[in-house]
Amino acid sequence: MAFIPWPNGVKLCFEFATAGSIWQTCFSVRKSAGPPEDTDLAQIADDGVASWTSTLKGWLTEDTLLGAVRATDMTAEGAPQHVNAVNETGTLTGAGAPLNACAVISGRTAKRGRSYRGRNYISGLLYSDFTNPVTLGSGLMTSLAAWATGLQSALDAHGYDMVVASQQHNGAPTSPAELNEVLAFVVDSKSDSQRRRLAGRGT
Amino acid sequence: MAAFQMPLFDMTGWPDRAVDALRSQDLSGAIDAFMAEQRVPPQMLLDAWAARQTAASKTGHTYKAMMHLGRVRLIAEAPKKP
Repeated sequence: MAFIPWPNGVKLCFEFATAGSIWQTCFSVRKSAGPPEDTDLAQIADDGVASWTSTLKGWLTEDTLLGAVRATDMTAEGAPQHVNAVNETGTLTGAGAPLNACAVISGRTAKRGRSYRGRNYISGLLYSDFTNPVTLGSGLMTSLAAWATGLQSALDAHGYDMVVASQQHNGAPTSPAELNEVLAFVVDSKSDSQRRRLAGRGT
Repeated sequence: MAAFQMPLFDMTGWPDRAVDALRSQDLSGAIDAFMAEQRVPPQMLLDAWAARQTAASKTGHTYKAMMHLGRVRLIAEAPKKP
């Protein structure tokens, strides 16, 4: 598929490995005024790392390594990116939930429909933070919501909005992508499965 | 920022673990006790849980909790921009 530009957009990705299996979760960000510069990419990546240190790190297992936080300028193909190497693990000890058992953070915009909702899957969770095999504990739900909202707030303070980037309409690519600001995050109590195929599987 | 005040609950018929959790003001633990037994937590308990998150929010987000298709949903809404 041809590259689809995001007007003033940046993709912020957290790149993890749990017991050697690679997974990532990405947020869409937009600079409030004008296209992003290199300093913007660095700031967005720094905000990502700060949110990891303050919240998310304390809810993932020590098997789960955050390798890097990557901010990519999405305004043009071949535009720069900024990578913050982190190489830190989560702090929890104990049995981890299987890697395909995820919490989902759903980003809601002012519009309805799948194109206008964001989905972020978080794995590397501790099994004892579930109340039973399908239900997340309420403390875990609260903390994931706090992680997403804290990141949103930090980005907002530096002049960036969290958005949902819609790249398709009725199955056909739309270029440029339509970006809509996230107004609320919803964390659901049921565990979900990552739909993206894990690296190195199914080959 | 609004201070959080613990409401009074009628705990008739609640799971023992939920009652114990609430005695130590652990709203999360009380909700988990209902969910562990596949029971729907009372809306008043969900409201109090969400109100506590709102009161503790350092980012100005407001929290709501609701049941939807047998799931608890925690909704964090961003503060309105001027």
